[in-house]
Amino acid sequence: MAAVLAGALAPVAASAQSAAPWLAAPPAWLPERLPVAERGPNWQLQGVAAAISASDATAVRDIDGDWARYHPRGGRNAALQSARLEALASRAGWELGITARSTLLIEGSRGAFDLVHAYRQRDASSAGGPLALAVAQTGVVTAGLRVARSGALPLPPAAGQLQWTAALTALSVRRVQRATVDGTAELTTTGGPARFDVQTLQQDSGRRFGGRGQPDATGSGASADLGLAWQRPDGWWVSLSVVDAASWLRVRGVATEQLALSSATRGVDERGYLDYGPLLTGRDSAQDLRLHLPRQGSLTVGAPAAALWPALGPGAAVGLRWQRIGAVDLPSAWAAAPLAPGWAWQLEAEPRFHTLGVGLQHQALALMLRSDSLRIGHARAFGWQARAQWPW
Amino acid sequence: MINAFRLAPVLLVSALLAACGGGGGAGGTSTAPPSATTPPPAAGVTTTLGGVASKGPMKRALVTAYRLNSDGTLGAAIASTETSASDGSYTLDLGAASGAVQLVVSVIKGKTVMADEASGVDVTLPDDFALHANTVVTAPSDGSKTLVQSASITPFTELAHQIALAAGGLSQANIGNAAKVVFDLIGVDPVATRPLDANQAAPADATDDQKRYALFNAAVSQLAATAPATSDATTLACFAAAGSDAGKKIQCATGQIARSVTVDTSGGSTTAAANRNLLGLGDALVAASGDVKNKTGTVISADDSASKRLKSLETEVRSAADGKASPIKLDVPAQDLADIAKAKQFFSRLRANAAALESGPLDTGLSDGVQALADTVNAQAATVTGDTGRVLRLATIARQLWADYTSGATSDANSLPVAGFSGGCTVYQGEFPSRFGPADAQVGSTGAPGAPYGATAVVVATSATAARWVGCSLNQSPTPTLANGAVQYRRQLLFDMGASSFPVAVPYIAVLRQRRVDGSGALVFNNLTATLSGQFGYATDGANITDLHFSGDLPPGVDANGTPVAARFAVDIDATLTLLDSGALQARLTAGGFAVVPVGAASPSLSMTLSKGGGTVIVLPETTPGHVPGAAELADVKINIAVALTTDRGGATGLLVADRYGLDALGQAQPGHVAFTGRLFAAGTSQAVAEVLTGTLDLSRRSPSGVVGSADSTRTVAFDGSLSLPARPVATLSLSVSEAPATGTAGRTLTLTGRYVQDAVTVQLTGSGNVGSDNRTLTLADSSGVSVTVNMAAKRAAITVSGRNAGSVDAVRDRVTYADGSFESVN
Repeated sequence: MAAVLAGALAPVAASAQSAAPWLAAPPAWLPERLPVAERGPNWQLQGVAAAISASDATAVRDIDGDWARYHPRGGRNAALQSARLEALASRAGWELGITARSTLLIEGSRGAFDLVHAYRQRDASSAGGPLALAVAQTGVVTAGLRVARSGALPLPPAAGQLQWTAALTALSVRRVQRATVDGTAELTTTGGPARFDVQTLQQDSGRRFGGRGQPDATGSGASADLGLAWQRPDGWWVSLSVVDAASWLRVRGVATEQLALSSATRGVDERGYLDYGPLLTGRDSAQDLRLHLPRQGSLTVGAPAAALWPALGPGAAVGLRWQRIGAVDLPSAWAAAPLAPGWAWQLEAEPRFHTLGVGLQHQALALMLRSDSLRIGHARAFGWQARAQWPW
Repeated sequence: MINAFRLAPVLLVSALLAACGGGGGAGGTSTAPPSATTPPPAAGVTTTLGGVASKGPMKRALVTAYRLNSDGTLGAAIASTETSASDGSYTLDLGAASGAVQLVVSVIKGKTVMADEASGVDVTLPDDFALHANTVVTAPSDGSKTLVQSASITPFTELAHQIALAAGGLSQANIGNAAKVVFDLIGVDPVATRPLDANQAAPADATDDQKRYALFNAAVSQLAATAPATSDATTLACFAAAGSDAGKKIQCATGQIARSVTVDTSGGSTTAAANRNLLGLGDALVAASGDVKNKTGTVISADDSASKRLKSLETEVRSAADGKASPIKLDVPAQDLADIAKAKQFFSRLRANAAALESGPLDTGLSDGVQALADTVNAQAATVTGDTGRVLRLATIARQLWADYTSGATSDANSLPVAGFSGGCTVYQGEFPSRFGPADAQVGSTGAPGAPYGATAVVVATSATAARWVGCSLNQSPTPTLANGAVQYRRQLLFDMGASSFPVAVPYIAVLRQRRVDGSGALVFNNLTATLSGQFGYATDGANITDLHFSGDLPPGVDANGTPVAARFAVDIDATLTLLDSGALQARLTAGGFAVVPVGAASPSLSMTLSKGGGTVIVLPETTPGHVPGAAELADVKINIAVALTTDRGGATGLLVADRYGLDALGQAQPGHVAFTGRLFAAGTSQAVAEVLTGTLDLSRRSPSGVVGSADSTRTVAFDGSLSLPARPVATLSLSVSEAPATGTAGRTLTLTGRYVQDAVTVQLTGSGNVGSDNRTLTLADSSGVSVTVNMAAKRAAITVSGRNAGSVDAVRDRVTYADGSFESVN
C-alpha cells in the first residue's frame, strides 16, 4: 500500500513528460488542469494570458447596444466572457502560480433574450405572446496563489500511463456580481400596456452599483482543481480536467437588491378610491455572500493521426474535446501537425458558437485565435490565448 | 486585457428591467454614495438641535431645551445656550436624548434684543417675553453618529405650542397635530423650517419656504405696528396697555397670533378653528411683503394662495356668529405612523393622482378626454364661429351693395373686391329663387351655367328699380379653368332684399357647392348640401347698425380633401350695437347660439351658447386704420362672454372675461387680464362625461412701462378651484405661477406657489427658477410633515418628515428610496 502511495505521489517520469501528447492539442477554451510539466531539476517558468467572449444571441460587448445582430437559439441561451492571466513556476511535479481570473456567465431563457431584443429594437411584434423570463448571471473576478501537484498512478505497462493532477488555489475575491430574474412578460403590438410580473435579485460588490453594501467589498476563498491524463502505449490519450471542482468564496457586505416588477398596479382602497401601486418595489440591503465558482470541465481524446490514416506522416495528431461551464457545452474537433522544425500548427472547429480556431505553437511560444467571423467586430464568439515558457 | 477583468457594469438584467419599464436597474447608473443609506448605528448617537429664535431674529436670548414626558408634562432641562448676537441662531447639544423636546426662548434682561422688521431697528423686548417650540427628536437614519435636527422658535411655533396644550398636553400626537394645523394656516412647517431675516438679503441656497416664513414673521411686526383689526378683548387690552412701547406691542401681536386658533375638546373629538385673533394677518402679510425693507426676494401678493387662504379664513371668522372659522379635526392617524410610512403615503397619493390623470397606465382616458374636448373645440367651435363671422361680413357686403345700388350711388351690380376676403356679392333682378338645384335631389344635383339656382332663370340687375335680391359667394380654392382643372368650393347665400320684412328680417337661402370646368370647357356645378335657409336682419340709426340678427342654417366649408366639415351650421345671433362716448363699439349679445350638425346626423355634435343668460358684452376699440385708442376708450374695452359649450366629448360653462386693456408695442389694444370662471367637463374611456375642473383660471400681465406684452412685464397664471380626477377624492386647488423679467444674464424668473387639499391632506407647492435653465426648484410639502424639494439640476432630492431624513428621490433611476432600504418606482 505504501508503495502504491509512494508511486502515486512520485513525480511524473521525465521521459513521459518530455513526450506529453496533450501538449500538441490546441489549448482549450476553458482553463484545464493538465499534468504539471517537468523537464528536469530546474524550475520552468510559464506565462499564460487568455480571453474569450461568446454569446448565442448577441455579443457580450453588444448587450448594451441595439441588438441589431440577434441570433438566438431555441431553449436556453448563454453568454460567456472570461479572461485569465497566470504566471507559473514548476519543478519536480510541483507547480506554483499567481493567477488573476475574471469569469462572467449568463444563462437565460429564449424569452428573456427576445424581450430585450424587442425593447432594444423598439419592435414589440418581434416578441409576441407571453415570454417566460429566467436568467442567471454570475460574474467573479479573483486573484490567487495556486499550488498544483501531479503524480502517476500505477498501471500495468501495457495499459500505458495514468497521471493525476490536483491544485488548490487560495483566492482573493476582487469583485462579484450575481443576478437572477424570474417571471413572465407579454408585450402587446396594439399599443396597449405591456404585462409583466418579474422578480429579480442582484448582488454586486462594485462601488458603482450603489445600494447599501460596503463599497468595493472584497472577500476570500479557495478552489480545488482535479485532472487525470491517460496515455496508451499506442499513442492514444485521454485527459479529464475539472477546474473549480470545489470552491468556496465569501464576500461580506455585498450590496443586494431584491426587486419586483409588476404591471398589476391598479387597486382601490376601502372607500373605492384609486390606490395605484408602483410598477417597481424592492429593498436594498447588505448581505454576506457565499458562492461557488462555476465548474469548468474538459474531456479531450487525442490520437496520432497516423493511427487513423496511416498515409499521414508521424507527428500529426487529431482529437475530440468536450468542454462544459454551467450548462454550456462546447464540443470540438481538433488537429495538429508539424509545420517546420520546432513549429506546429493547430486547428479546432467548434459547432456551438460556430468558431474556427487556428494556432501556432513553438517550444517557447504559442498563440491560438478563435472566431466565428473573419470580421472580428461582428464576431459573436472570439477568443485568444498566448503562452510563453522558459527555458524551452 | 485590463478591460477583460472588468465585469460589464450593465448587463442583461438591467436591460430586462428597462424592457419591462422598470428603469435601468441598479448596475452602474447610480452615483449615490453608499453611506447615504447605510443602516443607522445602534449606539453612540448624539443629537444636536439647531435653528433660529425669531420673531425678527432674537439676538442674545436664552434657549433652553426640556425633555417632555410621555404624558405630555414638562420634564427636566437638558441644555441651554445663548442665541447669536447677529441672527438669533443657536445650537444645542442634546447628547443621547431623543423623543419629545420643548424649546423655550426667553429674554436675558439687559441683553436680548429683537430685529423688528417693520421698523428696521432692534427692539428691546419685555422681560417676560418667551416663545415655545415642541419637536420630536429621533436617531439619525443616515448612519451618521450625530444628527443635526432643525428646530425653529417663532410666534408660529408658539401658536402650535398653545394648540397642543389646549388639545390636552404636549404628547407627541398633539405636537404633531398642532404642527399640522399651523402648517395648514401658513403653508410651511413651523418647526422644521428655519426662517430668514426678512430685512436681510437671502443667501443663495435659501429655500422658498424660508423666505415665506420670514415674511410671516415680519407680518407679526406689521400687526404690532398697526391698529389691531381683531375685536378680541384680551388683545385689545394688551395693545392699549402697551402704549407706544414697541417691545410690548410685539409681545401683544405675538400673543394675538398664539391665541388665533381655538381648540375644542368637547363632543368627543378635538377640533381647532381660527378665531378673531387671526384678523389682520392676511393684510399684514401682504404689507410686510410689499415693504421696501423686504430683502427676501419673495413677494406674497394679495393674489398669492397664502394670503388668499388667510383672507378666506378671516372672512369666515367675520361672518361666523361665534367668531370662529370652520373647525379642523385633530385626529390624524398618520401621527402614529413612522416617518417612512408617511413618506410612502405621500408618494402613493401623488402616484394615484398622476395615474388618474394619465390615460396610459389606467386607461381612464381622462387626459385623452380633455385633449379630445380641446380638439373638438379647436376643430369645430373655432370653425363655426370663424365661418359665421365671414358669412356675417358677406351679409354686410350684401347690405352695403344693395343700399348703394338701389340708391343710385353705384350702377355696378357687383360689389367691389375686398382685400384678403375671397368673396363678393351681385345684385339680381327677377324672382327670388327658392332652392339650389332640382327639388328631388338637391344634394349632388347640377345646374347649367347661367342657371345655378335651379329652374329659376337668373338675371343680373340692370337697374335700381329692377333690383330684387342679392346673391353672394364665399370661395375656397382658386377659380376653376380648363387649364388648372381646379375644383372650387363656394358657400352661396342669396338674400331676399325685396322681401316686405326688409331690413328687419331678410330671408336667405344658402348652399355649399363645388364647381369645375369639364372637358368641353363648360362650368359644372354640384351641390354638396341641401338648400339651407334663415333670416338676416338689422336696424340702423341712419349711419350705423344698431341691432343685428342672424338665425338659421349656414353652409359649412370643406376640409383639405374637399369633404364638407359638417352638414350645416345652426346659428342664432341677436346683438345690440352701441357706439360709446369713448369711441369704442359695444356689442351686447342677447342670443349667441352656434351648433355644428355633422353630415348624416340630425342633432349637433357641438352646441355653443356665447350669451348664456344674456350676459355677453363685447366692447371693442374703434377699428379705423391708423386709429390709436385713447385712455378712455381703452378703459371701456372689455370682453365678457358667458359661454356654454357642449360636445359629445365634454363641455364647458362659465364666464370668460378679458379686461385691463392696454396698448402693445404695435399700438394694438391687448388685454392685461383674462379670466375664465366656470366648469370643464370631459369624457374618459368610459364615455361618461364628468366634471374635471371647476374654478377660476386667471391670467394677468403687468408692465412698468405700460406696454402690454413687453419684455419688462410680469405674467401671472393662477387657478383657484377644484379638480375632480376619476376614482380620486376631489382636490381643492390654488395655484399661482408668475414669470418676472430677467435680471442680469439669467432668464426670466419663475415663481410658483400653491396648495391643494385632498382627502383632508394639504399639500403646499412652492417653486422658483429661471426660464430655459436647470436652475429651478419645486418643493412639495404636506401637512403630515413630508417635504421634498426637487432641483432640476440635481439628480437626487431628499425626502424629509418634519425635518428628519426619510429617504431620497433618484431622478436618474426614477426611484424613491426610503431610509429603511426599501424603494419603489416613482410611477
